[in-house]
Parts: sequence; structure tokens; C-alpha cells
Amino acid sequence: MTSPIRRQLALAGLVTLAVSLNVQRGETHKPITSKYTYNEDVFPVLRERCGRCHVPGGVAPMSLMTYGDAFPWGESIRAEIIAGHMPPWHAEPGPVRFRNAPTLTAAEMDRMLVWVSGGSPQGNPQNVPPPVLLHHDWPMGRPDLVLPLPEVTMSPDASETVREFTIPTRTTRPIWVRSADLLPGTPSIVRNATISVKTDTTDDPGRLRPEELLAIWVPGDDPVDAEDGGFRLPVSADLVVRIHYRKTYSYEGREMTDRSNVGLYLSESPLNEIQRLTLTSPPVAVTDTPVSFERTLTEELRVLAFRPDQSLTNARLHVTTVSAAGERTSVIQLSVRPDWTRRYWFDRPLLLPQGTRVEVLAVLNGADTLLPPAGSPLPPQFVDGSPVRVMLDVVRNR
Amino acid sequence: MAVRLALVLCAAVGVVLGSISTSVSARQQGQPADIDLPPMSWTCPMNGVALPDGTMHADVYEAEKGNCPICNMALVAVRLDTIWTCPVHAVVAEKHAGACPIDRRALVPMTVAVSWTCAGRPEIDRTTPGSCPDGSATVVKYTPRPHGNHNPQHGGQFFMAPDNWHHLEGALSQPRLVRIYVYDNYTKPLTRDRMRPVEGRVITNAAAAGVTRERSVPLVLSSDGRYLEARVDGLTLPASLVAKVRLKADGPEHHFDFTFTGLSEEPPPPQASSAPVQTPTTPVQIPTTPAPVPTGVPARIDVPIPDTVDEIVAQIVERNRRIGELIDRGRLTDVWLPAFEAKELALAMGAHAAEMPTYKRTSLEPAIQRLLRAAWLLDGFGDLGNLAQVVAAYGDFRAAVSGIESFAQVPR
Repeated sequence: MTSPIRRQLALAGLVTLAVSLNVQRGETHKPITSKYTYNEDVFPVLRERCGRCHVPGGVAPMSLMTYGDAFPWGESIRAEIIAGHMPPWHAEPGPVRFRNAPTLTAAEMDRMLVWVSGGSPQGNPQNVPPPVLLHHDWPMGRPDLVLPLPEVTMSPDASETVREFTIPTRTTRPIWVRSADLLPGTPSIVRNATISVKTDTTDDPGRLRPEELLAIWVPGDDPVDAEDGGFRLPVSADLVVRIHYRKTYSYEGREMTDRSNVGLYLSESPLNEIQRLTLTSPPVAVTDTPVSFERTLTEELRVLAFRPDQSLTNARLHVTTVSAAGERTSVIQLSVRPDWTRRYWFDRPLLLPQGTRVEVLAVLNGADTLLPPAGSPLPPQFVDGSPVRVMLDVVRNR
Repeated sequence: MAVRLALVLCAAVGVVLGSISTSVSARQQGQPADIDLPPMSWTCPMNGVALPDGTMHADVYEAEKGNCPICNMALVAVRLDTIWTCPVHAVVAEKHAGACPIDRRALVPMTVAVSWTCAGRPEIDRTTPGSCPDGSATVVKYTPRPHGNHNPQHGGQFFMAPDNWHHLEGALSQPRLVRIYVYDNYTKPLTRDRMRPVEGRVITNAAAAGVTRERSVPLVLSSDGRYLEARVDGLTLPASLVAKVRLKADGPEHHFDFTFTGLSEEPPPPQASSAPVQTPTTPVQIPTTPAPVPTGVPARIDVPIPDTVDEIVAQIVERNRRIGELIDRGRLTDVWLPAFEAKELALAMGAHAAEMPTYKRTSLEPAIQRLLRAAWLLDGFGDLGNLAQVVAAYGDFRAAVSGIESFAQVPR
């Protein structure tokens, strides 16, 4: 086909699309009552809080980085913010604060909601924001050790897959890892990932044991430098990297490839080794909750982070500490949502003296706890009648 | 200060309400005219009008001047604002809540289009204040808008139907006599012909000897076609009941919760000197898809912010009490206003963070966020008349207010 004809057809298609979009806009615009506009007030919030994923080429199904991109999604933005689903941080605001929490302030939240409810005006056309490009680099800078992963190809008919790789580090001496990160090769399809040290030992709920899970990667998160501690990798350790791939509708029917890299940030000097304290409930049926369980510390510990077990993807958790004197502190309340299981790093380590009781209340969402349905390639899900497990990442006080 | 209006709400620039007269002064001093004016939209004059193909022209609002994407007519500019007016007949325009000078009932908020005209020159209709051809100052004019009036007209409880076009009011007119009034998108009663296909029933639950029995009483069109009526024997106050109403023959049955703590008080008849607000031509056909609905103008909520945290907290607690009272009285449509006022007050607490000890400061932002989310939830559910949703949202709101109370210096 000659290129002029192609160009004419393409132009005709664009015109048709523009007309239909224009009609849609006309039908969906609300009267403009918002004192906030996209160019002046909303874009800066979207860029700072949402621009890591909602950008062309990002993992989110839609970009919000131009007025034309964001306008049709106004009602979705409103619903997601009010429900607390977006930004994807599912710990409720409370007295204990967390690092790298991608949240909106109350004022920012209100600005977005007023804008959406008040007709989503664009603002001064002279102030159209500059294009936002996908940030595709290591947020903490070049890692000390970069380990390339094999290439993965998703066939045109595949929409979702999980791949697990075992990667040798080939280190000749034990190393201390401050932080681990993943740099997706094709960010638009890498949905989440875990990076662990391969180990043959099994969990002993009664004892502290070295934490082998180096990182839970979710899009938009910056890696956290543990600072107060680190992960010790033995000589020539292997890493197990599991990546969950998913295409958004933009890539349906297309073959997609990815070659991601794992990055490790090392410490020259030995660190306080991060250990895992597992709290386990008795076996529980998903329809028979809430279930509460607890553990009393036999030594003083500093708690750096909390995470639910990876199998738990639809539940509500509330962790409380009770001092020996009976003083209760709410540590974290969260909804665990599919795809967004993560490690919650405390802004400042929690010092828990010996004798502190850690209580967990878990509410499973009935059959939803067992989602996704059989046949999905997603990571292991909660099995009805098994225990609920949550983990604290701790260091011993030095 | 109140200004009575006929046909449209007109008031002299010198005596109307705060922000508008301020804007006029600004223009006269050579400052930008829209300093404090409501934002402007462009809308189609054919919104809601029947089209030759039997469908209805959808509501069109655009951010910029241009032509209607449906009928190609030139879009016209409109500015929306909230005024406070008497609940039913005579019209008063105030900037803040207060009492109606006619019947002493509390003023109610109404969304209107605001524009400027000249005395004796009704053809002049501008989106900014200024000078008239004779050199006099323009006068402000308010025009009703679709969904601008969500206030009961018969002392009952007023809801918006899920089709986003009809409105419905339930009133307990006499003991055991439930009346359902149905309105269009301008809160104008449906004509008798339009009322004829409307049907429904009233459902009550009576508990006796530990057993709850559901009773369903059909709603019957009154002889004058103004309302549907059901006589519910054995109804005692306070009464909770559900109206299930089908607004068109092949449409779904909608659910509306009513709570009556007393008989609905029919407003006194209008005084001779006051005239009704003019409503534009009533659309003749119900839209098949929901139109966007401005249920209020949250950006135009003007709540005075006290100087101290304790006073702000007290005001928020008062709004919380008011919401609870509104829910108890079944006035779900009204909860958005105290909810949004509380939200504005809570946001203003952020400015006092520096005065607080660290342990309080870190908890302030989460407390404000919780209240803000709950306020928007109440706004979303209030209009739809589903009590269970509103009560659930109010549970969140109350919890958020409890959190806010801890910031008072003097424990409450």
C-alpha cells in the first residue's frame, strides 16, 4: 500500500477518533465549579504522586500526565481516592509512620476530589505542563552488584504469567546487603516481584531466623535502605527472583518481552543482621474469622518492618503491641489487597522490650481470601484451613 | 439582608452578598473581574430538550467556548454558585445560612447560575459585573439550574432518583397517610400525565412477639394527579418505611428509605408579594442515561474558620451532631452540607500543626484525611436516599470526628 493512502486512512481514523472523543467529553463534562484546575493544581500532584506508573509506558493501564489523558478517568480517580485504593498504600493512617508511603495529603486529596466533582477544568492553556517521561533508572543510583535476569517472552495470547528464576551471585565472600531492587526491562508489564536468598531451611515459628526475603518489589516504590540492619548473604549464594507479569489492555494481543535486572546495594562493613519473627495463628477457615493470635518477646528487639505472608491477598490485619505494663500501641492496620502485598518499613524502628506482647487480629474476607480463581498463574494463595502468618523484620539491640 | 425576587432573583449590586459585591468593586477599580467569581462552564441551551428523534438532549458542559457536539448550537457561558434561600416559595438570596424572613424556617442551599443584568434591560445577561449602558452598575441575577434545588417542597424528605433526573419527596401528611411527590430535574412537580405511569408501594416492618412481619401497601395516584398516596394502618411514630417506586412503566423499581419522627409540616401558602422562581421549559422525556449531577458546589462552601483549634474542633463536633440529627430525621439529602463544612474546618486545622506538640502533630494529618474521606462518602450517598449507605458512611465520619476531638487543648 502506498504511503499517501495509508496516511489518508490514518488521518481519517484520527479525525473519527477525535470527533468521538469530543462527543464523549461533551456528554461527560460536569458544570465547572472547581476552583482547582489541571494545569495549575492537579497536574503537580499527579506528577509527584502518580507519575511513576500513570505515565506513557508505565505499568498502569492509563497515563494521567496530560489533561487529555486524565480527564476521562475523573470518576475513577474520585472513586479510587475515596475508597483508599489509590495511591496503592493500604495501611490506615495512624500514630506509627512508615517510610516511602506513597500517600496524598488531605489537602491534595481534597484538591483532586474538588477538581473531579467540579467539572475537571483544564486551566490556563499557557500553563500546559511539560511532557512527563517514564523514569526508567535505579532510584537509589547504580547498585553495587547488578544481576541480569533471563529474557521472558509473553506470547500474544498470554495476558498474565509468573516466572521464577534462580540467579547465582558468584560472590567469593559473605556480603551484607543494605537494599535490593528490581529494574524492569519493560516496565509496562512487570506487575510485582520478590527477591529472596535461596535457602533449604524451613521456618521455625518459635525462633528468630535470618530473613531471606530481600525485597518485595511493587511498581512506584523506591527501595528502602534498611540502615539499622542488613541481610547477610553467604558465599556464592543463589537468589530466587519471582516476577509477576501482566499486560494491560494496551498490549493485549501483542508479543511482549522483558529482561529485568536485580540490583544489590552492599555494605563494606558488617551490619546488624535482619531476622524474621513469624507470628502464626491456629489453622483457620476463611469463613471463621476474625482470628487473633499473639506472641510475647523473650528478648528486646527493634522492629524495622512488617509484612503479611505472601499467600494472604485479601484480608484485614491489625497489629498491636502491649507493653509489660499493659500499655497498648496500634502498630499497623491494613487491608491486604491482591497485587499490592508489600513490606511496610517503619519510619523509625520500634523498640520492643522483653516481655512485650505482639497481638494480631486478622479478618479474612470469606471466599475472596482464596482469590484469584484456580488456573491463575499468580503466586500461591491462602489455603482454606491453614494458619495466617505475619512477619516482623527485626534486629537484636546491640 | 434579604432580597425578594420575581421571576429571576435580582438584587442591586450595592446590597447583595459579600463575594459578588466585592467582585464588582474590584472591577470598578480596574482589577481582574473574575477575582472572586465562580468558575465558568460552557453549556448547551438545548440541554434537556426533546429532540426530533424522540430522545432528549443530554446535558452538555464544556470547559471552553464552542459549539455543542450534539446539536452544534453555540454553547453559552454559565457560572454556578450556592445561595441560601427560603425552603419553598418566596425567594431570598443570602450568602450564609440563616432564617427565612417569611416563614422563619431555616434557609436552604440552592445551586443557581449567577449572571449580571441591567434594570429594565432583561436582554442584557453577562457573566461578569460591570456598567450598564446608562452608566449604572449591573445587578446580579440568579437563575435556577437542574438539580440546583434538592429541598423538600412539602415538609417531607427529598431524594434524587438513581436515574439522576427524577426527584422524589416522601411526606407523612396525616397520621398513617404517606404521600410521594415526584419532580423533574428542576424540582418542578411532574404533570398529571407524567405521573400516571409512576407506581410504587410502601413497605413497613412490624415486630410483634419477636417476629418481624413485612407489610406492603400499594401507592395510589391522587385524584388530582399531584402525588401518590398510601394509607398504612398501624403506623406509629417514629416511623421507618421504604418506598419502592417505579418511575416509568418499563423502568426498575427504586428503593428510598424514609424516617418520620413527626408529621410533615406543609409550608404556609406563599405571600401575595412573593412570586415563584421561574423554571426553564421542562424537558419532556426522561434521559436514558444518567446525566452529570451538580448536587452542590463544594468549592463554594463558605464556612468561617475560627482562630483556635479548640473552636475549630467544637465546630466540627457541632457539624457531626447536626449530621446525626439529619439522619435521625430522615433528611439524608441535607447531610452533605455539614459534612463539607466539617471537612473545610478540618483542613484548616492543618495550619495549626506547628502549635501542637510533636506527638499530636504526627497524628493530625491522618485524622484530617479520615474525616475528609468520610465527608466525601456522605456527600456521595446522601442524595440517593439509601439509609444503610448513609449510616455506614456516618459511622466512618463519627470515628473520624472522635479522632479530631483529641486535638482539642481543653479535653471535651
